[in-house]
Amino acid sequence: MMRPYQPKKNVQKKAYYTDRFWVAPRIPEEPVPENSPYAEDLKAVKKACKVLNAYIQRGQLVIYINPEENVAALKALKETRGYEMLSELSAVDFLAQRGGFEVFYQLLNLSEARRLRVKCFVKENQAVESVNPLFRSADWAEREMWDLMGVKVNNHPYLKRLIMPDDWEGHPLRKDYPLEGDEFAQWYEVDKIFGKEARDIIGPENRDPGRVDRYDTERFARLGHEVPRGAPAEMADKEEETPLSYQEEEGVFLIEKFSEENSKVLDKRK
Amino acid sequence: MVRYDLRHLGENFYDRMMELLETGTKPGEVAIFLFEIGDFSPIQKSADLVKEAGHELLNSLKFNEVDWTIMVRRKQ
Amino acid sequence: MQQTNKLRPFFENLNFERDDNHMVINFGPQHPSAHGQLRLILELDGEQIVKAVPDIGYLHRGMEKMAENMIYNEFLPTTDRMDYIAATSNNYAFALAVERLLGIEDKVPRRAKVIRMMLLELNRIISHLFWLATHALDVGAMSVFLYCFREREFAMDLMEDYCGARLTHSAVRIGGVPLDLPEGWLGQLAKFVNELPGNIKDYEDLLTENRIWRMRLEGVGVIDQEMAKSWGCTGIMLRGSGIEYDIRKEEPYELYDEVEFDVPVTDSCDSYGRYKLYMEEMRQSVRIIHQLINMYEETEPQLMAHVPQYISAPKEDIMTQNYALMQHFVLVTQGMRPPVGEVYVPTESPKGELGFYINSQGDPYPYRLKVRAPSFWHCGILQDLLPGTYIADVVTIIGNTNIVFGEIDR
Repeated sequence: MMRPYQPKKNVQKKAYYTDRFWVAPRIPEEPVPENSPYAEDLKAVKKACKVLNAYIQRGQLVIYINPEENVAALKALKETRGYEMLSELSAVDFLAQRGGFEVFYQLLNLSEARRLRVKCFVKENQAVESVNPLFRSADWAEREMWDLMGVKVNNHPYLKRLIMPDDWEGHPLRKDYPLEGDEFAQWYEVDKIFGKEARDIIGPENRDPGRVDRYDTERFARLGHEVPRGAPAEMADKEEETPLSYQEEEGVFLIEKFSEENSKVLDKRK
Repeated sequence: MVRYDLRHLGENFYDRMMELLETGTKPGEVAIFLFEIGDFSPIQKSADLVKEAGHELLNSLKFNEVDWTIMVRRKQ
Repeated sequence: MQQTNKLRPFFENLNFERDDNHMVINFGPQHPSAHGQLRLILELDGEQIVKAVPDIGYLHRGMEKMAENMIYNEFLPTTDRMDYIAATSNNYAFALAVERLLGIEDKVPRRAKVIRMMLLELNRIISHLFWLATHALDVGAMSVFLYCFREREFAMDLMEDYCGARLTHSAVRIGGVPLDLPEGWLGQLAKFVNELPGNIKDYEDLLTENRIWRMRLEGVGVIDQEMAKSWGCTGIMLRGSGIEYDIRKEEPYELYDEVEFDVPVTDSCDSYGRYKLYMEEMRQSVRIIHQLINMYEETEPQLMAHVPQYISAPKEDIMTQNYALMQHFVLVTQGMRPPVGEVYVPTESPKGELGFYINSQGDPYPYRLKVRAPSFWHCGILQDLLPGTYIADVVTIIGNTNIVFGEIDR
């Protein structure tokens, strides 16, 4: 009886061996100290929307909010708390574990050199409100997030694939997208230029740059044993010796041969 | 710590090794030498040479089928 | 046997004939001054640009995807290929991010920190010289191109003496520096750094008061403060608009707090102001390197941090002690396992704020690695910056924003 097909949620490389009793240590998540500037930031966000969780990790405040209130939180932080720059905006794929993405906004307060990360959990088909009106840098960041991760963004001015070609199918940075690319990716050029039916004629892509095929006369010229290009394999044993000769050997008109002896090698610069 | 590859000298690497121990390393520094096994005589010979020169032989390992490596700490 | 209709699918062939006399041209991926593979779709009204749509992705190698399939040390050489003009700044940014993730930043020995900073500042000089060369060549000053590349050769020779490569340095490891400085390297570095201010003065004599240079650069690519902050511009693009923010000063990492240098700022907001900043920043790098050369002498010779569970021991311990060998074997084959958590670490690369966001779930492979590349947004800003300018200014603005496509497409 065939095993039922399990959807491969995470096809990235996994650890080959894990000790059965290994518990990975966690980075300490300190509570927000009372009178610190981070506490006021937290209060400002709490006024604007519901904060699920907030802690300080490696010196940066991390705030968890609901995805619906991301514009409200960022507006509050920008106007009242002086976080004028959105340095980073992207998503982390937790489809296998929790069926959604963690979208994070990395903010920077220029005047007081403080950084803050606002995170929200977006379910798979849930869309995120675009932050473009507040920060123009979100325009490209959201396009790249949509392109590579597949997190939909509402009323974005020009939501189109940014890095992949426009007609690409699938989102490459997802965990269920193999590193070598799925079937569509491996045959993308062949399908576009020659069509699906040319797949078996052309054959799969050779991803091993070092592979040299002894009888492949299309891609390799056998110097010293010339065989016409595209010659069939059985021509292989009928190659005659074609010695390599350069025209410079017996000297070229007007060009003096370069001689190593009377040339000087500069060892000191300038 | 310095590493010297003497495999290209084949059998007669002893004087080059001793010369390197004198000039190529600082006092108390560890030097790692790599040489060919040949007929297994260089292993014992190199250990004796190092011992009589007063340096401390830290380790002597088989590197692969044809090579041997020794770790020597130069005397102060 | 190409079917002709296959080669012209509808979306590639943009509508070239517009009725209201706007011409759409491709500032194509293969363009001498495109600084790499930038396809800029420009809608022109005569010579003036009405709409600009940068189309990127021609140099996309999927580095973030590769990061998820490689252990941390394995990914380090890939970071060379991001900003290939100054490779060590990417290596360093990645190494610092992983060190902060592991929490071993203070365990990195002092000599390694001094060597790292020397390499970083040397890379900053290499990157700025390359920027000046290509920017001047795009605008038309051929001789500056040749002078800059000659100076850059000496700096590249220094990098090659240290790490063996001119372009893909991989000169930094997680937890320290692989090699000590070769003999005579400090002397050559001092000689190079002593000559550089003289050469910078030559370039400034050539360019700063040059009528053509000023006409081509002044008032071109004006980025006001609001637009710079909103678009996330960092580095010299931000300091050119009057906002004094340098991560080396504001959030000091490594030994930047022990080294005095000042951060040049101008509020002229245009390309000419940024050009002056680049020249001044090169002088500051020279100043930093002078102080670092003096600091190098009194550091003791340890190079890598001593954290056995994450970083393997030095080679002499591995070859002599059994436990160090076993630990080294596990770290090399399975890779180190960082704690669960995430970290975002910004550093000041020659192009701007280069940040690494690493989310780790305790496996030897990073769960998610996002690279905050400064050139990504400096290329995005072209979308808003170019409408209204002329085609000749496009070349100047692209040269001035110092964008590198290895970083943009990753």
